[in-house]
Amino acid sequence: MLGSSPALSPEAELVLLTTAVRPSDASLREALRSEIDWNELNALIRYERAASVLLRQLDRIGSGNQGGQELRQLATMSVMQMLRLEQLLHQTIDIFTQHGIQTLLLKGAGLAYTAYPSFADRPMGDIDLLVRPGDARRAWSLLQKHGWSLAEGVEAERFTGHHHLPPLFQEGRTFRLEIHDALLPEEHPFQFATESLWTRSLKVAVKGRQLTVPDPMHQLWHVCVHFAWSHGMTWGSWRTLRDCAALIERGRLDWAEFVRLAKESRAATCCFWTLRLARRFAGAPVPDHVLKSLRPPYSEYIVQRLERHFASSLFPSEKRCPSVRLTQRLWAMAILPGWSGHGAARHWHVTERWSATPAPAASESSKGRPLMDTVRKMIAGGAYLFRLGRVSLPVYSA
Amino acid sequence: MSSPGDNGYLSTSSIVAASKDQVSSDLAGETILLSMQTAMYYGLDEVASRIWELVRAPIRVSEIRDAIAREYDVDLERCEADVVKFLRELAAKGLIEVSAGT
Repeated sequence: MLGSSPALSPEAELVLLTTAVRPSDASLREALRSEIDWNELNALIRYERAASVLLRQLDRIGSGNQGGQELRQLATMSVMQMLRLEQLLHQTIDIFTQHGIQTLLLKGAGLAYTAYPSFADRPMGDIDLLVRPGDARRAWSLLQKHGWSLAEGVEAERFTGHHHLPPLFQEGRTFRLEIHDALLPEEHPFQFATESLWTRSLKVAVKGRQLTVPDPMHQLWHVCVHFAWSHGMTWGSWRTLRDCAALIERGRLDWAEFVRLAKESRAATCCFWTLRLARRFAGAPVPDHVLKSLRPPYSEYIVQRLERHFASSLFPSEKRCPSVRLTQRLWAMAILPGWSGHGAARHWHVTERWSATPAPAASESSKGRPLMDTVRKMIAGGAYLFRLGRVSLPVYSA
Repeated sequence: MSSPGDNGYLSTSSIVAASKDQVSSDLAGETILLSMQTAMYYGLDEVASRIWELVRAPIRVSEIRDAIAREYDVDLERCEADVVKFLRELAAKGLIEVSAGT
């Protein structure tokens, strides 16, 4: 009898625990009893920007010093960066307000003010601001007169058809800001009008300012689509699961309306996988009937195998799928682009447009590749699929 | 509200509140502050963090003194001196606003 092997390293399991709104003390203590490689852990939390959240959780159970000085330093740096980013956001909003430019806070910034207690509680790498299409170029130019600048060597033409203008930076490349004029790149297959974000947007008061944020239902939809489609469920996992848990815990969602939106917008499978992973790993209270309504037409056996694959891909690790092509096929099997009405649209087409060099998928074409390389990849892929059958997943316990 | 700067007038009857010109975050028993005016970061230890928590909403200095003295079991007179000194530092850095209490 073959034994099971964990899908995730002890470090990844500990970081995953912090995606829950209130991870249980017992789970955290149990995770700490595993053989944690603190260098590995620090590398992972740096990658996920999870240092301050992890330190707070460890401190809560009296284990704040267990991560040593490096964890504390990483956490402090992270908080300092978030405070500065928040300051830059406020300055930007003030500039736009003075010039009559309406702004809607997307992704991290919007979530920070709606799903989390404070801005710094939602670590992020950049600020994403949605403006009306007619204002985008003006907003972008205006910021370049107020301390923001383009990175050297940016090819502006690559942003044609993209949903945001070339990113702007401050203080070297420390702080990044993107002006969006749409929610998704033009290749996207979803039936979702950016205008509906504006229609249902909400106002939040922050330090004397009225900030505009998306409705929680649209935020959850965007979190799901961004993770499952734009990132192919292989990137931004920690913040996605945490965002889902935080948004759902706030309890302002009308699930019937959410399911209707997910189905009508062709995002049912994207929402299913993101929410299923969020429920399993972050303890997000997603009702059974919601998952049932969004579920692709597969048996539980298939769903579990795919779930194991996505769990193995949550964080960078040797346990990830070794083949880009197999990763894409498993993604397509889960999302079911044809069944979902996506036509030929795939997230890697955006990557291909973006990449100065051909994307891995294109380079993996069999044309001209040595036979042995192909055989080696097939064997690695087969071994990976076999391993999936024996993988065990951590489960959130309250 | 007074302008921050020379805050020798701050007394136990004053009302203090966190300024809008700052952003802050707690971190494992400590607080990190960033002044919008000076772009300077400040770190607060546990007791200072508790005072910061109290000034998030307008509060009388004497109430802060009483809360800190009670929670940390310290002499009221000494507590008052320390609290007032600390609040004056915050006011001088523009991190809190001070108004005269009635």
